[in-house]
Amino acid sequence: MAKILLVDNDPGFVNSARRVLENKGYEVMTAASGERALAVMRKEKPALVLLEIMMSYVLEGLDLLREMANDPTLKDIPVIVVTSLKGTKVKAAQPSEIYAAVDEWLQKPVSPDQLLERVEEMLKVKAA
Amino acid sequence: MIVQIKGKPEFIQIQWVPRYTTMERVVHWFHTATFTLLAITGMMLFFPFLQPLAQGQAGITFRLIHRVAAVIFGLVPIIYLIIQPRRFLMHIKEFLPKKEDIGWLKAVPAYYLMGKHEAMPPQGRFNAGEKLNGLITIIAWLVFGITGLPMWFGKGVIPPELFRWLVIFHDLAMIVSVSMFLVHFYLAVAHPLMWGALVNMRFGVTSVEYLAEHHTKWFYGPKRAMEIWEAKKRESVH
Repeated sequence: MAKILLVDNDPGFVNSARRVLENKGYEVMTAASGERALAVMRKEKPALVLLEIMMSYVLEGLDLLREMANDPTLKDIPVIVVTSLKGTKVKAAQPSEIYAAVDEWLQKPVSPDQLLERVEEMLKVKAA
Repeated sequence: MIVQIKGKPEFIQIQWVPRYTTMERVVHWFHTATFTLLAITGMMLFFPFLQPLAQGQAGITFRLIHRVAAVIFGLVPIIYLIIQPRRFLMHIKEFLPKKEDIGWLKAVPAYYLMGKHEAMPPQGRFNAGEKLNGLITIIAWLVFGITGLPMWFGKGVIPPELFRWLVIFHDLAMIVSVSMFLVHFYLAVAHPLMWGALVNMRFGVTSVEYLAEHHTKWFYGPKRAMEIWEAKKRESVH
């Protein structure tokens, strides 16, 4: 089964998400910081990353995305943001120096079904 | 802050960042309400010129309000510790002074009085002043409890000399904490640079702009925050 990297510094969320994914047979790795996540990604090459943006500092997740985009071995790994940051969906955005692109956005709290559905969908897209 | 969803014509715009949990805000406002009641009723008994107001039935009522507020004041942090021990201990750790806090102290006159933003080193989720306020609040809470309970239940039992010292320490804790409260109140409600402080504690969220300006280290991370500060300082020289 696919390897999934869960990047979040909230042990409560990590434990419950890990349980949900492992019950479905996924191999789950975890990292509580952007720096640790990069090290795990370079070694394990996960099929998918689930990422919280706000960790030890607010933009830590976005910094990780930037590092991934600049690394040819990591830039194609799909990323689903699962975050406590509240965002508003807009059709057009003002240019911003704080910008990142991700494959999917989920707002916490996330139900196990919703999480599994998005993970399966993303892995299918990647396989195709 | 903008996040684009790849392959879709839509963006996620993030304007507000959660800064305080509901529990933190409930504790803050219960603490504020009970502290205010305790300070007002306590001062009626502390200042000789106010003591005439605390005679007879009024005095009984003030003492009753002081004791009821004291019970809630004392219990609120204990309830927080029981319900969210990890978060509570994280707070205590966050309030502990660090060497870098000296930079904030040095920058206070230039930043708060002259509005020189480049003077202020990058701050975390709590700036050093907020940490100092938090630390004094915790110490005062302990002193009020240690001195107040024997003053309430030990009158006539405790040796008079010891009772006198309890009253002195209770009063000293009041003087320090009320002074800190007034500074905190002014900064949160009226100081022109702290435009987002009250919103933070009312709604639990902070605007991205306020964070980038006041809590740079928590927003951008230590490395980027230092780069931004250095650039600001260079700009102010030219």
